[in-house]
Amino acid sequence: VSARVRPRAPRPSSWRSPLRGPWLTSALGVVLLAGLPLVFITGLLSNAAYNPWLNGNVALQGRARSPLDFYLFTWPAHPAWLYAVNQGIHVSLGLALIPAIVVKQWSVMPRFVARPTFRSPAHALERLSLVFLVGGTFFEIVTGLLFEEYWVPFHFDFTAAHYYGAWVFFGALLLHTALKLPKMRESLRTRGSLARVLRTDLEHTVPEPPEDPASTPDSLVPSAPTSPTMSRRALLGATAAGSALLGVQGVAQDIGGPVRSLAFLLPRGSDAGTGPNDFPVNGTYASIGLPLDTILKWRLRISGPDGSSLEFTRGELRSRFPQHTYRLPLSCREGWSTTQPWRGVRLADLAAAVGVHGSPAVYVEALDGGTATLAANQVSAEQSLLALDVNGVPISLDHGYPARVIVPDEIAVNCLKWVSSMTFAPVIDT
Amino acid sequence: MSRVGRFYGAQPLHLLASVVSFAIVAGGVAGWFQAGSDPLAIVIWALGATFVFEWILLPLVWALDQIAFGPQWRRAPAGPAAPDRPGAPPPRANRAYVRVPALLSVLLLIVFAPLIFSADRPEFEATTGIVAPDYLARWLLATAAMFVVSAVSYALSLRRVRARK
Repeated sequence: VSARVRPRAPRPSSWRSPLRGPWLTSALGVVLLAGLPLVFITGLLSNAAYNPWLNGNVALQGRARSPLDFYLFTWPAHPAWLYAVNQGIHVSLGLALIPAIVVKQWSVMPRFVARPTFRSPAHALERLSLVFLVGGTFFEIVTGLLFEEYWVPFHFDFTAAHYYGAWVFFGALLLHTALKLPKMRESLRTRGSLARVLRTDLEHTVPEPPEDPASTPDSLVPSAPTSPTMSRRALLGATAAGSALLGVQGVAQDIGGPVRSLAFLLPRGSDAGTGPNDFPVNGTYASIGLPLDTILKWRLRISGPDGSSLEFTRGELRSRFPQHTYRLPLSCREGWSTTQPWRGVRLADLAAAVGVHGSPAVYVEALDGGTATLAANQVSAEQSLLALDVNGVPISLDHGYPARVIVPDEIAVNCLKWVSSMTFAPVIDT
Repeated sequence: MSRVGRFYGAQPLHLLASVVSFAIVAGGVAGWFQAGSDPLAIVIWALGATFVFEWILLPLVWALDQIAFGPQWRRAPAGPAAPDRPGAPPPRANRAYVRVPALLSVLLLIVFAPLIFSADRPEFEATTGIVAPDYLARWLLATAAMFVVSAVSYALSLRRVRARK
C-alpha cells in the first residue's frame, strides 16, 4: 500500500519586498561584523575595570567564579581617560548599531519561518544557534537600555546577567560568522556595489538577481516582488540616520561639557546647574537614608595590616597631609563622564601614615555600606586621591561629603563616596 | 562526502565550529544560572525580549509602515509623461521625505520608551538628583525637527528639479 503523499504546490511567498536579497543582508552584515565585536570587547574591558577578583568589588560580589570570569591583567591607572573612552565606545556604538540590527533582522525575516524547519543535523544546529544569537542580542540591547534609562523591572543582577549574556551572544556570533562569511564576501563581490546602490534612485531600483534554487533553496530574493516603495539608498540612509541619532546621544554624554545637551534623550544629557558641584550624580545622599548626625560626627579611620589604626577629621586631613589637585574624569559604566578638578590627600600618603610603604592595595568601606578594593597600582598612582574638595569648594553631600575616592582611569562605582574606613595591606585578594 | 558527512549535512569543520560555539554559549547560560538571582527570570527576559521585538514590534512597525506608505501608493495619479523622458511615468512624490522621519521617530520612541513614558519615576530623582525633564516633550520636539529638516530638503530637491528644466 503506497502512502498517498500529496505534493504541496510551492506557495507564492508572502515576503515580497524587492529590496531583500543577499547583497542588502551582506552590506548590513559587514557593518555589524565590524561593530559588534568592538561592543563585546569594550564590554569585557569594562568588566575588567572593576578588578572583579578583588574583595568587595561589585562585578563578582557574592557569586561563584565561572570559567568565563577570567582576568588577564590588573586594570591600569593610566591614562586617566581610558575607561571613559572604553565605555563611551561600548554604549555609543551599542546604541548606534541598534538600527542596523533591526534592518538586518527585517532583511532576513523570511528565513525565520522557512520550511522545512531543518534539512539536516547541521542545519538544525545552525538554526538552534540563531536562537541564541538573536536571543542574546536582544537580551543585551534590552537590559542595556533599561539600565541606562534607570528603569529596572527585572529581578536579576544587571552586571552579571549582561556579562554572561554577552558570552551567549558572542559564542553564537562566532558560528554565524564562520558559516556566513564566504556567502557575505561572495554576495558583496558579485551582486552589487555600494557606489551603484548610492547612485540608484527609486525609479531605477530593481530586485537583486535570483539565486540558483538548487544551491539556495531559501533565497532571500523574493520570487514575486512588488514594485519598490523605497530605494536601497533611502533604506541605508535612514538606517545611518537612525544610527547617528542614537550614537550622538552616547558620545555627547561621554564628552560632556558644552555638547552634553546633545544627549537630550538620555538621563545624563541634563546638567543640574552651574554651581561647582553641579555635575552628574549617581546615587544621591537623600537616596541612601543616612542621618546627618553620622556625617557631622564623621572621622576617617585608616588601618594597616598589623591592626594599627588612626582617625582623622576633615580638618586634620587638610592640615596634616599635603593637598593635591588633579583634573580627573569621573566615568560611569553607563557611558557618561564628567571631568572635574578634585583636591585632597594622596592615597599613597594615607598608606604611609599607617606605616605601609611600597605598593599596598586598599579595602575601602563607605557609610552607605558600599565596599571596594583598589589594586596596588591604583593606590600608588600619583593622581589617586581621597578627595575633600572639588572646583575649590567642599564636595557636596551628593558627591560623597565628607570624603570620596577618585582614582584615574577607574570605573566610578569603585570610587566610593562617603568613605568611612580604609584598610591598607600589601596584597588583598579573595 | 562520507556517509556520516552526508547524514550530518556538512563538512566535519562545521561540526567542530558548532561545538566550539555551543561550548561558549553554554558557558554564558551556565553563568546566568550561577549568578544566583533567579536564572528563570533571565531566560524569560532573553526569550521575551526576542519575542516582543521580532514578533510584535517589528511586524507592527512593518504593518503600520505598509498601511501608510505601502504599494497602494504605486498608482500615482495619471499625468503626462515627463517631457525629458518621453514615455516614462511621471515622477512620483517621493514618500521617503515623510516615511524616513516617521520611522526615525518610532525608533526613538521604542529605544527611549522607559524615559518618554516615565511621568512619575521617583527613582530617577533619587539617582540623579535632578527632576526628570519632560522626555515626552523632547521626543515630540525631535520628531517635529526631523519633519522640518525633511520638508526643507524636499523643498530644496524640488527647486533643483525645476532649475534643471
